[in-house]
Amino acid sequence: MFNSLQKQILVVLFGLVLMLLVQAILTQTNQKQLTQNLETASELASELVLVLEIERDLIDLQRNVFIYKNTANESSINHFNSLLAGIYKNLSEFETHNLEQSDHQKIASMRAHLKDYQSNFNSVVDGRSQRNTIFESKIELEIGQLHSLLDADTSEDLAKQKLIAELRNHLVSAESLSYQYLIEPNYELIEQFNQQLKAITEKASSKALNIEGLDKLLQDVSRDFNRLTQVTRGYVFLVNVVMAGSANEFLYLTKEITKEVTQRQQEAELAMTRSAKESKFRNDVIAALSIALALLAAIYMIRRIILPIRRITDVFSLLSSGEDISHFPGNQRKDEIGNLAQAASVFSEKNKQTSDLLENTQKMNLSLERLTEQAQQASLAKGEFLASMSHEIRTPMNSVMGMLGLLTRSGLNQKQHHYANLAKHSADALLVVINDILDFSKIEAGKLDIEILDFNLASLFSEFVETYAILTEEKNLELVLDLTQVNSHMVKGDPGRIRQILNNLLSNAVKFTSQGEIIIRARLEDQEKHPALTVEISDTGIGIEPEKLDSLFESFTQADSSTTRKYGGTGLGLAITKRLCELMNGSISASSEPGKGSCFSFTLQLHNSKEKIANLPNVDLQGLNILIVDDSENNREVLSAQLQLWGANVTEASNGKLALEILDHNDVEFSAAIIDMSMPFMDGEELGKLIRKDQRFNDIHLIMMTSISERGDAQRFADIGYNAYFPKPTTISDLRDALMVITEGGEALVNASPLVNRHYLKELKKANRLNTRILLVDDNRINLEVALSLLDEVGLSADTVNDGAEAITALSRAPKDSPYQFIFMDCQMPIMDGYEATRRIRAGECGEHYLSMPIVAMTANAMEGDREKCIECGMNDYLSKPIELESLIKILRQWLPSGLGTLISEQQVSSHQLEEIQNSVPSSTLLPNDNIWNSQSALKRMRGNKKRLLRVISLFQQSTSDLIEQISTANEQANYSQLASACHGLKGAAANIDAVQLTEQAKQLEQAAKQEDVEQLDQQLPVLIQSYQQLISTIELAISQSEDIE
Amino acid sequence: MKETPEAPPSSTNEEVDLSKRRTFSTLGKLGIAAGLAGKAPFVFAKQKTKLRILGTHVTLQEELRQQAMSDLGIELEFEPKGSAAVLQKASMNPGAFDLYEQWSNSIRVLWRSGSIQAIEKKRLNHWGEINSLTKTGKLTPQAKIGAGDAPHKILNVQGNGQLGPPSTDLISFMPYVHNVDSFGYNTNVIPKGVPYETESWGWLLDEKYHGKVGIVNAPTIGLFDLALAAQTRGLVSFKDIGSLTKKELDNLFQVLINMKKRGHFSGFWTSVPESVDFMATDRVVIESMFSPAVSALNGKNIPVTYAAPKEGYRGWHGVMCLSSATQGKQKDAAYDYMNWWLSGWPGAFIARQGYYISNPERSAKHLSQEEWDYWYQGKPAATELKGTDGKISVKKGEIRTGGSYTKRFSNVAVWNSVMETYDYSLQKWYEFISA
Repeated sequence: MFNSLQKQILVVLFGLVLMLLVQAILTQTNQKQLTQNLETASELASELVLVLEIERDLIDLQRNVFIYKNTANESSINHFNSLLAGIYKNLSEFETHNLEQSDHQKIASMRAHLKDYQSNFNSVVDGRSQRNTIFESKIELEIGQLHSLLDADTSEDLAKQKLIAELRNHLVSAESLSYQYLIEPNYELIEQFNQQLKAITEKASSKALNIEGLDKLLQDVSRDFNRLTQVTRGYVFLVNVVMAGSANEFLYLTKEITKEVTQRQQEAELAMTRSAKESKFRNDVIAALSIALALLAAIYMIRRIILPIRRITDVFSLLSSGEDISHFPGNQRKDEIGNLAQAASVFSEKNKQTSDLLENTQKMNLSLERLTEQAQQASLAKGEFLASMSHEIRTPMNSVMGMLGLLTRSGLNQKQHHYANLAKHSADALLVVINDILDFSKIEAGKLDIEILDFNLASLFSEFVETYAILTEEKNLELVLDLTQVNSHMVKGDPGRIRQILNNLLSNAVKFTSQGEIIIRARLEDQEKHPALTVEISDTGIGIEPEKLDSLFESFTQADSSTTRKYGGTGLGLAITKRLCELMNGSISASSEPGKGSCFSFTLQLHNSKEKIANLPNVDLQGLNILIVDDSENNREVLSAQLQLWGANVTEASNGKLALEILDHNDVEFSAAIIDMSMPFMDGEELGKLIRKDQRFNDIHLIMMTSISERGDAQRFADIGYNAYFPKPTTISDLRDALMVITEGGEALVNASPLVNRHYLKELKKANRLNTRILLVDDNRINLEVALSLLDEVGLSADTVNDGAEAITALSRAPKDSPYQFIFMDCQMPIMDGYEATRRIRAGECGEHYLSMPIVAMTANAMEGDREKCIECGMNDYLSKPIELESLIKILRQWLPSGLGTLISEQQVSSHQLEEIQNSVPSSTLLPNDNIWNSQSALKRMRGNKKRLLRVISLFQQSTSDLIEQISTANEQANYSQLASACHGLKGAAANIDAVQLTEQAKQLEQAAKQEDVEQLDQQLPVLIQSYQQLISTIELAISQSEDIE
Repeated sequence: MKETPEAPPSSTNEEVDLSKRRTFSTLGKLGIAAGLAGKAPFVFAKQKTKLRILGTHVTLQEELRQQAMSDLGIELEFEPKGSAAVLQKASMNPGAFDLYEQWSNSIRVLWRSGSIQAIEKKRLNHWGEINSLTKTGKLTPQAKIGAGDAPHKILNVQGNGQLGPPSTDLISFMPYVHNVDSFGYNTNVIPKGVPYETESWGWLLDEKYHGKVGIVNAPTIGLFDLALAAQTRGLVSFKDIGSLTKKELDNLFQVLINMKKRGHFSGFWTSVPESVDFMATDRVVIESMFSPAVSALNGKNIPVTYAAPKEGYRGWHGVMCLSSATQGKQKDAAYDYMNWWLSGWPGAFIARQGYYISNPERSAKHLSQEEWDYWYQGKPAATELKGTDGKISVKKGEIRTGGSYTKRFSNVAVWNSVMETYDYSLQKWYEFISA
C-alpha cells in the first residue's frame, strides 16, 4: 500500500498536519486553563477583599460599640447599623462564591455571631438608656428628694442641725460617688456609696431623727443605685466580655477564611504557574516533535525523492548527450521514482533505437537521393525524348501530308483522286492521333506550358465558331453563339489552348449530333484576382449513357467502343481537354440525357488584361425596334439579348407567318428585320418577297442571316429586297457594323451593291484604312515585298524602311496628326537592328506617341528566348518568318488600335482556317511540301496572286545572288559576323518564297557562323550553294512555266 | 452559654415518687403532648402550674426538664442563657423568672439587687443530706478552702440581710450541682502529666503551646485560670487570688495582653460545644474546660485529659435561687422542683456528666457501682461507662482525673468569684480580648 511515493508523502504530510492540530488543541486547552486560573485568581482576590472588608468593618463595629458604651451617641448606633448591614452584605456576597463546606459553616457561625452581637448591642443600648433613666429619673430624683427632706428640717436644734449637716454631707458624698460611678464604674465606689447611705441611715436612726420618708428614700436610693450598678455592669459585661468575645470569634473566623483564601490563592497561583510550566513543556515537546517530524520528512523527501530524481536527471542528461547508460538508479523501486527509472531505461532503449533509425534513415536518404537523381534524369530524358519525338514524328508526317496534298492537287484521275483523298484523310487522322498522343505525353510529363498572352476573348469565340459554320451548315445543324455574358473582351490567357478545348468539345458535339442545334454559351465572371471563363456547349445529339459519364474524361475511353468505329477518334481528346482545363485552374464536367443531348461545361481561370477596356463594340440602337425571325429559339434568344444589350427593342417571330402578322398588326415601327434564310414552311427568301410586297414596310431594313455557302446568291437577295446578309453564326462585330450602316442610312447604303455584306464592309473598311499607317522595317526586299502583299490582302498599305535607323527617322518625320499606327520590325538588320530601334522608340526618341504604338517583330528565329528578347526591348509581339497570313491578320487584329483591328476581314481568315479545321490541325504549324521550293505554298502565301509570286521570285533571284557572293567571301575571309548576317538574310528570303531546304540550310549555316564552327562551315557551305543553284533553276523553270499558264 | 442538654426533673417524694412519677409522667406526657398539639386540654382536672426557670445550659437540660415535668406534674419553662445575660436578666427583672440557676458568683449581685428571696431551709426536704462543702466549706478537715467566693461564705442569710458563713434558717440558694474545673489537654499532643504533680495551670501559658491555647470568655472564670497560670509561672504574684487588686490586675493583664498580641491564645469560647469544637478541630491543644466537654471529646475519640493541676482546681458551685417575685402556687412548685433536684435521680443524671450533687449518697442509688466508683470514688472504671447522650464517655480502666470527689474538692485553689475589682477586670478583660 505504501509503495507509492504519493501515499508516503501524504502520510508524512498528514502526520505534520496532525501535529499542528495537536498543537492547536493544546494551545486552546492552555488558554482555557489560563482563563480559568485567572478567573479563579480574580475570584479569590475578590473573596479576599470581601473578607478583609468584613474584618475591617467588624473592628470598626466593635470600636463603635465601645464608643457608644462611653458616649451613648446616637450616631454610633446609626454607624453600627450601617456597618452591620455592610458586613451582612459582604457575607452574602461572599457566600455566592464557590466555597468549601467549612467556609459555609464558618459563615453561618459568623452570621450567628453577628446576630448575637446585634441583639447584645440592643441590650447594651437598652442598658445604657436604662442606666440613664435610672440615674436621672430615680437616683437623682431621690437624692434630690432626700436633699429636700434634709433641707426641710428647720429645727433649730444645734445637734440636730449638725446631724443634718453630717447627713447632708453624706448625701452629697453619696451623690458625688454616684456621679463618679457613672464616669467610671468601680466596686469601691459602690461600697462607699452604700457606706454613705448606711451612715445616713445609722446616724439618722441613732439620733432618733425622725425624718419622714428618709428611710424609705434611702432604701429606694440604695436599691436604685444597686440596680444602676447592675445595669451598668450588665451592659459593660456585654460589651466587654460577650460582644468582645463574639467579635473576637468573628475575627478569628475571618482570619481563618482569609488564611484559607490566601492559601487557595497561593495554591491557585502555584497551580497556574505549574499549569503554565506544564503547558509550556507540552508545547515545547510538541514543537520539538513537529520540528523533528518535519526534519524527518525533509530528510525522507531528500533521500527518497529529490536525490533519486537528481540521479535520474543526471542519467537523462547523459542519455540526451548520447551516452550509453547501463545502470538506472532506483530501477527496483515500485513507486514513482521506480517508474521514472524505468522510464529512463526505456528512454535509453528508445535512444538506441532512434540512433539506429537515424542511421537507417540516412542510408535511405542517400539511396533516395540517388533514386531521385535517377528519376530526374529519367524525367529529363523523357522530356528530351518527347521533344525529339515530337519533331521526329511530325516531320515525316508533314511530308506525308504535304505530299498527299500535292498529290490530290496534281492531275489525277477520279479513282486516283479518290485514293489520294482517302490517304490524305487517313494521314490527317493519323496526325490528329499523333498530336493528341504527343500533347497527352507532354501534359503527363508536365511539360505542357500554358502561355499567358493578351487576346480578345470575344474574337476568339467568333473566329472559332465561324470555322465550324460550314460544317454545321452541311449537317443542317444550327450553331448558336451566346456571348452576352462576356462583358470584357480583352483578357490574358492561352488562346491556343482555349481554342484546343473548344475545338475538342465542339468537334465532338458536331460529330455526335445529327439534327438540332449546338449552343455555345460563354460567361466571363470577374472573380477577385482572376476572371473566370465558363463555357457551356450543349447539343441535341445522341447523348451519353449516365454510367459512361464518369469515365468520359479518362484517357483512352470513349462513351462507347462502337463509337470509335462509327465516329472515329483516339479517346484522348477529352482527357487532354480535362488536363488543359486543370492546368488553367479550371474544371470540366458533362451532363447528358441519352437520346436527347449532352452538355459539356468547363471553367478556366484567366488573368486580367490591361487592355480591358478595348474592343467593346459600342452600338447605340437605343429606341430602335427590331424584328427577329428565326425558327431556332436559341438563335433568336442570343440575337435578341445582344440587340437588347445595345438598347434595341426586340420582337421575335419563330416563322414567317407570325412575322407578317406582327408586322401587320403591330403599331410599332420596325427599323429592321433580321430574317433567317433556312426556315421551314416559309424560308427567308419568300418572307422577304412578301414583306417587300407590302408598301407599308418599305422603310424596314431587311437583313438576311444565311450560311456561308450561299455566298454567291448575294445578288438574288438584293433583288428580293434585302439590304444586307450575314453568314451564320453572326459575329457581334459584323452584326453591329451592319446595323450601324443600316440605321444610319446615308450614302453607304445607297451605294451598296447589291447588299451590304462582308465584301462591302471590307471595301468600306478599306476606305477607312487610309488613316492606317503602317511601317515595315526590314533590310530584305523580298521580305518587304512579301509583307506588303500580305498586308494588301487585308486591305492595308504600309511604308517600308530598311533598318532601324531609317525607321526612327521615318517615325520622327511622320506628321503629328497622322502618325504611324503600327510597325513590323525585323530583328536582324544592319546599322541598327530591330531590338535597338525598338528600345530607342520606347525611350521616346521618336516622340511620345510611339511609346505605346504596337511594334511587332518579324523574326526568323522562332526559338525560345527570342520572344522574350523582343518583349524585353519593348516590342508587343512577334511574327515568325515565314509570315503566314492568318498570323499576320491575327497580329493586326490584336494590336491595331481599337476599331481598326476589326476592319480586318474575317472571311479571309475563316476560309483559310476552314481547311485547317477540317484537318483538325493546330494553327501554327508549317506545312512544308517540297523541300526545294514549295510553289503551292508560296502561291498561297501570295494569296493566289501569281503575278505577285512571279515578281517575288524574280526579286529573290536578283537579291540572293549577292547574298551568295557575300557568304562565300565572308567564309574565305573568316568574317563570321558578316557570314552570319548574310546567311540570316538568305534564310529570310528563302523562307518568304517557301524554299524550305534552302531556308533550313541557311539557318544552319548562320548558326555555324555564329559559333564560328569552321569545320561545320566548310562542310555546310558547299551544300548550301548547291541547293541554292537547285532552287534558282527550279524558280526559273516555274517562271517560264507560269508565262505559259497565264 | 450553651450547655449539653439536661435531664428532666424528678418527682418530690421518693416513695410517692415512683408511682406518682409514672402516673404523672404518663399524664404529664399526654398533657404536654396535648398541649403541644394545640388541642383543648380537657384531660387534666388540675391546672398545671408553670414554672419559669432561668439558668444555664449546664442544669437546664431537656432530659431533666422532661423528667421533672413528668415527675412533678408541673409545666416547666426553661430559659437557658449565657451566664452574663442570665444574671443581667435576673437582677433586673425578678418578675421574669421563678427559679434562677447559676453559679455562686452571681449570688452577691442577685442578693444585693433584691431579685431573689431567701429560701427556707426547713422546706428543703433533703437539707440534712447536703454535705459540708457548702455548710462549712470543707469536705474533709484537711481540705483547703479555695480563695474567692467559697459557697459557704455566701450561703446563709444573716440577720442583717447580708450573706455570710454563719448558719441560719434562710439561705440565699439551694446548693446542688457543683464541680471543680481545670483545663483539658489533648494527650495526642501534650504528653499526659501526673495529676497534682506535673499537671499545672502554668501549661496554659507555656510557650510550647503557643497559638493553641483556649480560654473561657468569662472574667469571673477564665480570669482565674489565667491568674493561676500566671502566678504558677511566676509572671505575677497575688496576695489573694480570690480578690485581685487593681494593680495586680494591671500586672496580670499586661502579661496576658502581650501574649494575646503575640497570638498565644487561639480562641475564647463562650459555650461548652464551642470548647469541644476548639479541641476537636485542633484549634487548641489545651484550654480551660468544663467537664462535659471533656466527656464529649473523649466520646469523639479525642483523648482529652482533664488536668488535676498541682496548684489546685478552680471550683464552682451551682445555685438555685428563688425569685423574689415568686409567690403562692409558683413558690410551692418551685420548692417541689428544688426538692426534686435533690431527690436522687437528677444527681445521678448529672453525675454521668461529671457533675457532683450536694447529696451524693441519694444519687448513688441511681448509679451503678462502676459509675459510683468512677465518678465519685475516683476508682478506675471497671467497664465502659456511657454518658447521658448514650455514647461511651469513659473507657474501661480510666480513672477520673483528680481522683475522688473528696480529694478533688479538697484541692480547690480558687472559687469562681465576682471580685470587687470586677468592673475594672471587665475593662481589662475587654482590652485583653480585643488585643
